[in-house]
Amino acid sequence: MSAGPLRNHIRRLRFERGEMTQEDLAKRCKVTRQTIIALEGHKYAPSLELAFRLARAFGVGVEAVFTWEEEENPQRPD
Amino acid sequence: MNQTWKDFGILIFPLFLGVWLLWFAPETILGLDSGILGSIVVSYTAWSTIFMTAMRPLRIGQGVSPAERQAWVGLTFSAIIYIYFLTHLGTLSGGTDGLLSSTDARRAGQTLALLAIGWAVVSLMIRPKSRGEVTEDERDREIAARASDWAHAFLVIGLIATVLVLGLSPRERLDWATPRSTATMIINLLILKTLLEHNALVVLHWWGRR
Repeated sequence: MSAGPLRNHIRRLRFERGEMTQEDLAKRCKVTRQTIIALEGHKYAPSLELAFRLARAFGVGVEAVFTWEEEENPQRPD
Repeated sequence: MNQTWKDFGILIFPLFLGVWLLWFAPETILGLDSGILGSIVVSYTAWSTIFMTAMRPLRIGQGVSPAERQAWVGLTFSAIIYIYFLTHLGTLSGGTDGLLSSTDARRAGQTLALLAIGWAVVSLMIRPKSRGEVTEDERDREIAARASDWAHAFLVIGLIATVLVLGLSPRERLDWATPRSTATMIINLLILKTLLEHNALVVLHWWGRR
């Protein structure tokens, strides 16, 4: 359930949008406030649906909310 | 005044009243048995304490999710049920008659059933009342699935161990394995599985908001 290499910018995006509260974001995305807390703490990787809901709530694309941190020596496909 | 005192201070008087009625009061008061009165008052105080404790996160508006609240209630009740079960293990597993034939075993079973009903009632009482409030989301379901997996694994291991003990032990070592004690052993596994599942739920929820 840990977010692993997936990182997000939810906290920054909240503050950039008039200091949106976790509660407000949770209501918009139809999740609990504790899920937003877990997301911001990188302790939870959301489903695709929730990722899109979060992006829609901020009015940005999914890749503006989530980033994938590459490993130090990524395996390149042949 | 501290919010906790505001919330729970109202229960101090009935608590002292119940204790006084149970242990210090005369045997009858106004023609009524003070022991029964004391039991009623103490039960009401305990019930109100559980209810108000469960309701507090709702009133304060922060802290735990509805699913975690349910997990804490489940952990509390399953722990109480398991402790009661252990303290009455001899009554439930002893004897060669069926469980329904023993008055003490029936009484213990009725108390366990009442505790289970109390659990269901408290769970209903603490469910979010306002429309639109999310009662369970995808993370809660994932946590529940993980906790269920662990509890399931424990149950499978416990049952296999029980089967091995009963199936492979020499006959002379199985005098204790009456139908009643075997049934009690399986019930023990089921209650313990529930307790472990709710413990896992609480830990997983806590870890996520740490």
